[in-house]
Amino acid sequence: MNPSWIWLTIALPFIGFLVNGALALAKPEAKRVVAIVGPGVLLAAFAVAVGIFAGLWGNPPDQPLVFPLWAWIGAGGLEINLALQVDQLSLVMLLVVTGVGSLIHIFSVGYMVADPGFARFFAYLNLFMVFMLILILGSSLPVLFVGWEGVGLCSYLLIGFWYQEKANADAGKKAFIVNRIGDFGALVAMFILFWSLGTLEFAEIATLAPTTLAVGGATVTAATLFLFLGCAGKSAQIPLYVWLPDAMAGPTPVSALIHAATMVTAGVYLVARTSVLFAMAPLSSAVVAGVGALTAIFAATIGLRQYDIKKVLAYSTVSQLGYMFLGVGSAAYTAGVFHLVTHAFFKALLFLGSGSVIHAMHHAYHATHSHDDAQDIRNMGGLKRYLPTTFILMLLATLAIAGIPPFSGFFSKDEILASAFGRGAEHPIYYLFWALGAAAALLTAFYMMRMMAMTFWGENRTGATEREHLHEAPMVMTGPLIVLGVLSVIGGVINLPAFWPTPPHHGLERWLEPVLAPAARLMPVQIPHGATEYALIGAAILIAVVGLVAGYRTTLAKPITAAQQAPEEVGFAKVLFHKYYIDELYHSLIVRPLVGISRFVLWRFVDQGVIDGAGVNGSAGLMKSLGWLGTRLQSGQLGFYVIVFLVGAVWLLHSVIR
Amino acid sequence: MNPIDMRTPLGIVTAMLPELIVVATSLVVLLLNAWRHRTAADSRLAGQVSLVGLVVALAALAALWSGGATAAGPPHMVALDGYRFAALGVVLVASIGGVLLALDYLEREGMLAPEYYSLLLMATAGMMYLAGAEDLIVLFLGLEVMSVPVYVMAAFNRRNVLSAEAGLKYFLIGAFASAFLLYGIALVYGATGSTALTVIGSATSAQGLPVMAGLGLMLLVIGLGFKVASVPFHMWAPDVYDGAPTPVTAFMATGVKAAGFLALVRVLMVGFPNTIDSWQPALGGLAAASMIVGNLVALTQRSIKRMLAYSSVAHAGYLLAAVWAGSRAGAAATLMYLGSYVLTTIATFGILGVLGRGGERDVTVDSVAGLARRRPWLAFALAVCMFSLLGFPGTFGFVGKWAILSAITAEHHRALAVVLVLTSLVSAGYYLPIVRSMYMKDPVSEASHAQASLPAAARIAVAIGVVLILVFGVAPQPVVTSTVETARAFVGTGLDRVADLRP
Amino acid sequence: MNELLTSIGYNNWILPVLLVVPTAGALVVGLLKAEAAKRVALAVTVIELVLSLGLWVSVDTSSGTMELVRAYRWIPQWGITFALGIDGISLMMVLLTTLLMPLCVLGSFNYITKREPGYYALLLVLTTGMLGVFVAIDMFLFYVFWEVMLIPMYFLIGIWGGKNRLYASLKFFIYTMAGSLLMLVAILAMVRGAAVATGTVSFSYFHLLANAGAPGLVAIAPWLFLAFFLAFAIKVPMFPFHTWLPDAHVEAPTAGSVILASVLLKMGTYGFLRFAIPFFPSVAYSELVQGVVVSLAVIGIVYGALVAMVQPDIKKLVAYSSVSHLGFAMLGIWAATVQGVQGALMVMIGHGFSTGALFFLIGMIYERRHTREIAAFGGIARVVPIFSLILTVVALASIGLPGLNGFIGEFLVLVGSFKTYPIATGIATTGVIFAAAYLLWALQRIIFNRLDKPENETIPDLTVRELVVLAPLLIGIVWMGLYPKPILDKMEPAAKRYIEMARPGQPVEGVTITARAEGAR
Repeated sequence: MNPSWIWLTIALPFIGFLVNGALALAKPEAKRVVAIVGPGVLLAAFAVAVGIFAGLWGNPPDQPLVFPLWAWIGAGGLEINLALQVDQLSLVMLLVVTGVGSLIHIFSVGYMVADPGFARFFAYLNLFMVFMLILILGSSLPVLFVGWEGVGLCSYLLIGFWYQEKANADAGKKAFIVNRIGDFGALVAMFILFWSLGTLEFAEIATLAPTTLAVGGATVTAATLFLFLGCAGKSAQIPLYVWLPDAMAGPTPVSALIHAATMVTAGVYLVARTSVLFAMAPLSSAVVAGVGALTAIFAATIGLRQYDIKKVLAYSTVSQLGYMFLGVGSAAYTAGVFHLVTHAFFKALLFLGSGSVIHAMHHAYHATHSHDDAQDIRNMGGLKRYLPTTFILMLLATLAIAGIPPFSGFFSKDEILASAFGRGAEHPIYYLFWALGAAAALLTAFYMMRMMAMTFWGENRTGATEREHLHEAPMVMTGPLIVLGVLSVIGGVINLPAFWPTPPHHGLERWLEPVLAPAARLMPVQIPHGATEYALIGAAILIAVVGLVAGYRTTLAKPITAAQQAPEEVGFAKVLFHKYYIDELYHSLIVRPLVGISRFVLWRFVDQGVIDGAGVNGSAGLMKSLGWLGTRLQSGQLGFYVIVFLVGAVWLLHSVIR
Repeated sequence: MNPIDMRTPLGIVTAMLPELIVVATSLVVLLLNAWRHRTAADSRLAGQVSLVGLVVALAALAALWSGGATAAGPPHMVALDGYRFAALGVVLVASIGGVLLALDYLEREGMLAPEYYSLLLMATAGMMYLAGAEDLIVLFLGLEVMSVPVYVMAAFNRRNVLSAEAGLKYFLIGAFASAFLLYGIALVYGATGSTALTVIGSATSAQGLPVMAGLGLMLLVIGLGFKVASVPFHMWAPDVYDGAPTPVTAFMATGVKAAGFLALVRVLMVGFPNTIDSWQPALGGLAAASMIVGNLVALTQRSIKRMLAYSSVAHAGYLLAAVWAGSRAGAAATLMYLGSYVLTTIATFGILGVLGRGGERDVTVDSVAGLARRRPWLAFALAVCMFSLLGFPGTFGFVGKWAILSAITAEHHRALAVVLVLTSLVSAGYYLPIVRSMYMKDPVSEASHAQASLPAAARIAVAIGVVLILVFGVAPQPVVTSTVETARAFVGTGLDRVADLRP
Repeated sequence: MNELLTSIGYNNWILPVLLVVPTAGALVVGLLKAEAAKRVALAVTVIELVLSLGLWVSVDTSSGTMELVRAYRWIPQWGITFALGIDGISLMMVLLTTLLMPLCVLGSFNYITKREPGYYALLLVLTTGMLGVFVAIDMFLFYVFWEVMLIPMYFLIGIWGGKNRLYASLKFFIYTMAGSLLMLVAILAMVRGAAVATGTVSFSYFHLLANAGAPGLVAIAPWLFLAFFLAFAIKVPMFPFHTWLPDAHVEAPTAGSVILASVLLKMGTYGFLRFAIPFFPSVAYSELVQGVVVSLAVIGIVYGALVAMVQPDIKKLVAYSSVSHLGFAMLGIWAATVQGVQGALMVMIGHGFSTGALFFLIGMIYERRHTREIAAFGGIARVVPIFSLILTVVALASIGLPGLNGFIGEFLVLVGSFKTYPIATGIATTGVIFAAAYLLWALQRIIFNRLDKPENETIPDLTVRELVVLAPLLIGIVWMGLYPKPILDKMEPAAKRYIEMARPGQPVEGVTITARAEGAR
């Protein structure tokens, strides 16, 4: 299929959005239509994507193919076309997004069917896909920014989908505002790039930057750092990760689609997209890697002590995103994208799996009108008996994320850690990053297994009566799970490392080569070879296994009490349970002071007190009181009048005698 | 061009025709009063007669003016130029207004004394002499002929204590001021050996300004400054304006002020054109003081009539600023502003006269509340007047203020201009509340404004006034032309300033 | 199309006609009964709109200078003519005005329940005043229109306003008059200076523009600029001259708020672009003035946003958000780069649409609940989905979401200003964060959260008439967000011309040319 049909991938979900949106307003009960249109458009878009991919498979372009739609902004030297860019990188993203997207859409049909806002949900979901595709296909930073903000908007709407709950609306708002902080960075980065390169087109940036800017210079460093601030916001890195865990307030498919597989990885995509710039700024790259490693370990520790199944997965997502940044920060852009892809598979699977668990739990509690928390793993246990399929699939995903060969996660995570280690030879600091990453891997294996164990093994703690109502989800939900399961297992095949016995080796790397070559020329990837390499692999596998086993043992060692009777956490566990109190910290250090100052200092004091009170009304009052003095003089006493008269006369006469 | 030799009796008669007609009318009215002074009908008759007389005088003036009469021969005592004609026009309009407002008012307030009209006509005659005087003797005569009847008129409402008090005050300080004026004339004569302004003018241009003449000039300024109620010679004004019957107040605020200013302009522009530095500081001071005091004090008044009294002081300030400019543009501006001020003030007092019953002093900002609901046209008229007094674009008042401002700024002295605009801003603080209370508040009671309707005569005055305010506000073309032209009457060499450049 | 217009001599009569039609209509409307007054007023404004649309094709803005210049004899003795002209910038302002007026009339049908004829008559007079300000090229004429506009707005607020309307209207009147009176003195001083230099007394814009550098004026230029600055800064309004705006907005009837926000505020920025800066570029771009203005603009952006965040009254919130938005416009104007100026103009237009729509929406919900307290709402998205949808879209436009009009302006302003004032722009960019904060918070408290107030459960959703009012604005919001190019192209020559006047000798395009050339290699 001719790549010029690329616009179709965006148009299709948009049509879906229009149809579902209209239905949501006019005829919300027409769920059948929605159930067909919603996922249908996505599958169609996926088909188009596959078609284009197939078309380019044989003869991949060495230059990005840019398809301008129309001239958008034009002012002075700033000429921005609304143009779509097809190249190897955007194609990979396109396939992942539309593919995983379609699966999640299908899953949602089953998951959301009971919800009165069914049509609205799919309208939002389709709209999200529109913006996500603009994000990955945009040929320039501003166009990308359209999608960038658009997905933020949809995330806002979907997190607050059940807006009647204040908490959900709050979470949505938080997500948007925190993202805005990141966008501030992205904007400034654009300004710097425009005035230093005179363009915001990715292709032109890639060609111009090396010739125009100095490697490691202030300009490129500043630009990349601000850019990364944007990425940190969108991809939930320290210090802007706080919105993602709260974002779990949204329906589970949303968490799977937006907050695991697609949107949150946009930051990683952007770094890869502007890899040239980051390659030119070693400092920034180090910052990216450092923040990534730090986030990875930090989030992982929090994950150790969460009981909400989605919260565990959320922190795991934050941690895994940290890995991706560690990768791209180590100039291993392929590895980063690779992990992005595999993570999309297994994390989507985990979330949807948790979805089907919650679905089951919810039904159980709903049947008995119990108000227990359907997401708290302390209320689960032994579910493998009731949800066998879900159990198997989630287990596969867990092995994948833990990094057990030959599951997909193993390859991508290993490649990242290896390249981080490799850069250590040049910049020793990277050894530290590698260490953090390795430690995080251990914790990952641990808390994932803990979650699995508490959910599926051991005694069931749902409750005697509820237990009867636990059952596996319908096919429409398990179907997508199975597909994702397969992908999580074999996903690694797209980029097998050299040491792997069977080809194809480095598929993704070779595919992406044309896009990433400029960056690679400036900052080549350094994978250690020989003994070191094997040692690293061995270590990684060992870590994973240890983590899994430990996680399983420690969790099931002592009996678990249901959420209701669960004792208060103590010591460091409590700190972890409260996520290091970061939210509270932000709230009391930033939010409350800001509101307070705005209300009492700026508004009441400056605005109403000084400017209006003293300034405006004050001067008016002054005039009045002066006038009042004047009236006092108007005594009616003739004598006084004459005196005033004479004084004036004397002054006048004096004025001529000088 | 039709030169008139004022040494021949015919010449004098022609040149002075308007004045003579007014004087004659006043005598006729006086005779009429002699045996018809009982009923309201008598009073009205007297009023109608004097109205006719004034209109005829106006016609004669028009003829004279359009004839382009100019003086032939040596210096004469009364000017014969466009500026005088225009001045006479303003004065006549003022007194016509005074008559129209009085016609029903006197009747209504039970002041059945037809002498009112003969007094008013005499005062008018005096104003005309004053405004046209080109000789200090004539100037003094005119001043006195104007003042004495006005003293009486101020106290005209015998039964009203305030009115009587007002008359007395006015008379006492007035006499005081006249003395200053007279002494000033003497000094100027002593210094220049003449009372003819033209001669004084050439003398001062030649030898500069001797101290004695300077003192004399200042005494003249004081005398006239009193008549126009400029700070600090204004203290009488609020009490008198407040106490006198409304038509009289209107007549004083317009006619007397106008005559005083026109005389002042002529004295300065003809008598002392080249020694401008000697009198500009004084006038600047008076102007600033009047603007500031007048506006600030007016801000605190609740009684509309008293508020207008103070605002008339403020307007005296604006006019003094125009005179201060000492250019032809300034003279033109004075004339134009007087025009707008006379029209607006007459209309305002006309409306005020019907709003209150038995003493307009109780007409406060609050008592006009909701007028727009009950008497839309009346409210509209008053609103227009307020905006005109405020000097808001679209009204004659703005055109006048604009003329003054451009005359001042042309003199490279922006301080006075800034004072003017800032004090005008303050004036918004007391003009707008009246509009606000008429349009944005509800009537105090069902009964309020029930019988607030203009009698025929006053209605004519108000209607003409308001229409002209709006027309000249949008199309000031004719007024500007005539004033600019008439100001060319002043030929002093010191007057050729930027302000007088042609576009 | 253009041929048709030329065949009827459109360009010869359109500008005066645009000024006459509303006033003539006002005279008629004022004498009618309430119902008829509504209809006729609507008809007049629609006719006005249709008439004005021709300008889009007939005015050739490519020159960047004034087109359709016509000077009619008025007061020759004072060198005053009734001179009208239009360029790319004023074209957009005129169209913005003529587009909004029918909506304002239609949107008032239910809101205004007393003394309708007067109300609609005043709206029409106001139209003339606003259009006059944008097309006058004689300083006397400009001043007259500038002031005359106050009266109808004064009555609109004072008669049909809210509880505190008397205070608000007087404050509005005196506040704005204070600025313009000093400008009046400045204008006269300029005329005099030009007269000294050339020997001709003329209030013509071009005459003054040509002679603003006359020796007599250079000395006092700072004072003259200050006078103009005050007049326009109050209108914009810039911090700290903004406190009239919240009161005026809150008390004014819906249409009044819409006109205030969408058109009147723009006159301030327009004044800077057209008069203050071109007259005195050397003053405007002296170190001091740049520093002051840019800081005030940036303060306005952040301060306005923060204060907006804590407002309990929706209208006050939007009022302060205007302070913030106009701060962007000021920043862009002073940046004097094509992007900056174009951005400022887009902010002016975009703000007109989004804020206008916001005020309409607030008015509509006010008609239903008779309160504007944010706290009085909550969860109404379920009751009035269409209202909530539109409110959300408009709010997002105002936040500056890419794809909607708000973004274009802000983005261009920031890009453009970054070259001239990087630090200030950096701070200004934080405005996008606060904007999200105050609008989303308000949005949440109004349409989201639990529907916990019984009186909110029965609110009817928007009527067809109300949708008709909002539709054009929404279309504009989306259209300008996705395809602003035509508008930008129309304004670009004028913007460049402005830059040439503001920064003589500065390369208009900025650095971008060289970099592009490099890219071509």
